[in-house]
Amino acid sequence: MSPAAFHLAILRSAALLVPEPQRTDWLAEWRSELWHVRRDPHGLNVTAFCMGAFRDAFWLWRDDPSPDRYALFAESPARCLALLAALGALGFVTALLLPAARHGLIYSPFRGNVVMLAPAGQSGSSISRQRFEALKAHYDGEFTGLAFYTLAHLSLETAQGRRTLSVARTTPDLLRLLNIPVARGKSGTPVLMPTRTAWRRYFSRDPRIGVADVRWNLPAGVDAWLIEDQPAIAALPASAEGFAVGRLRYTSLSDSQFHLVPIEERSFGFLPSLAIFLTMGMLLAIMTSDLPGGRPQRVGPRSSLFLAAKILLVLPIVVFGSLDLASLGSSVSGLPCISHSSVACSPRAGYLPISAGAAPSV
Amino acid sequence: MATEVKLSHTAAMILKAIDAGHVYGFGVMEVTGLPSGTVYPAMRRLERDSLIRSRWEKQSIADAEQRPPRKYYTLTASGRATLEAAEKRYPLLAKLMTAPAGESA
Repeated sequence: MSPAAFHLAILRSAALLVPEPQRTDWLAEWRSELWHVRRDPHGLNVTAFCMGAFRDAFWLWRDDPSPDRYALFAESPARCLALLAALGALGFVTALLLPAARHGLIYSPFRGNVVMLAPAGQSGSSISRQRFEALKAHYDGEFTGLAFYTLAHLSLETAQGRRTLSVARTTPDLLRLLNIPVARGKSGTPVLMPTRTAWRRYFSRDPRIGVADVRWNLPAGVDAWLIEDQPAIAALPASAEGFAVGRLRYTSLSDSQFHLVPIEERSFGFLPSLAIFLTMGMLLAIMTSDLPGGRPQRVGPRSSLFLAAKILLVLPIVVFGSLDLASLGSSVSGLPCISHSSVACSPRAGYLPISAGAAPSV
Repeated sequence: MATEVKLSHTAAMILKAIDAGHVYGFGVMEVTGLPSGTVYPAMRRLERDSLIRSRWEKQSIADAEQRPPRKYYTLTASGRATLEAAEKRYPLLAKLMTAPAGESA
């Protein structure tokens, strides 16, 4: 779909809300304005401009004194079904545009293609850093991202006194492949990103500290992520045990030395949204329960067919709408990060400076 | 005597913009910095309250310039009186607005 057609589709969808007597004039005005907006030398966001049409149309719909306000749904079964189909399509397209919702849509044995590489024939899933390096060199083309993390303990003076946090030492590659925004500190300075729970518990919800909202069920829960440069991780002993996480370029990889353990993405509140949209869907079905004119009709084959078609079309609205809503609600990570040393030296939070040598102890 | 309509600052800005010669929605958006979702519904409200009126440009003029015809808005007498009252209420309003290029306010 070309941008011009897309923008016109937005306006036409909004026009469905406008009371019928004003609709032609309303659409003509918006189309005329759109023509000028597209040629705006200041490069106004055309899509944002078109989205404003919904608010305008909604205002007209609300301001309409006619008792036929709901005629949008009742005046014609075909129009009603078309509107429901359009809403379902809109929900689907929105779900494709939102990363978290898109993951929910695409079937894969490895959800989001994120896997842990575990050595075959072993009960645990940890591998040594040396083995990870060999694995990375061998399979780099098979993954869009491949990263290693190891567990450590970090002693910090927090607002609640001295605490020992469990941290995962890794490189920015890991958070990137998990789609978690990470800011880099000064060159060579590690960045500490606590989990939301640790941020609340140990960092007094300090707004200057970025939170790593890791929704993936990775082994060994940690309090924080310590993001270091590649050389710092490469300097770990070759025998240091850790975990290898990768995002597969394709959906499978066969190898006799490793097996792939899918990492599940934790639920992002899909069910509450589903309940909300299910209720809205039911309301929509009730509001449109009569055939043309809003007059009660005898239940006949046409009415039953109409009802069945509506139910079929309401379902995608419910599912995609819930996914979109839940996905929007979950995108809360990505606060600006501050460097590990800055956290340590922050006088407000009362953290003590941590020397490089005293930082993580494996 | 007609009841005086009390305008919000946003509505007063839009009324002032139209009075200054920004006579269509996009022009009002540009000069006020307000989004389309605010400007157009506010203009509907002003038109419903008879503070502004709209008219379509003649098709022949638009055709001559090879563009679609625009819908233009102008202040009514009631709108002008309301704007004068709003300018007393919001003294900085006049300073916020400039006439479109090539026209005097």
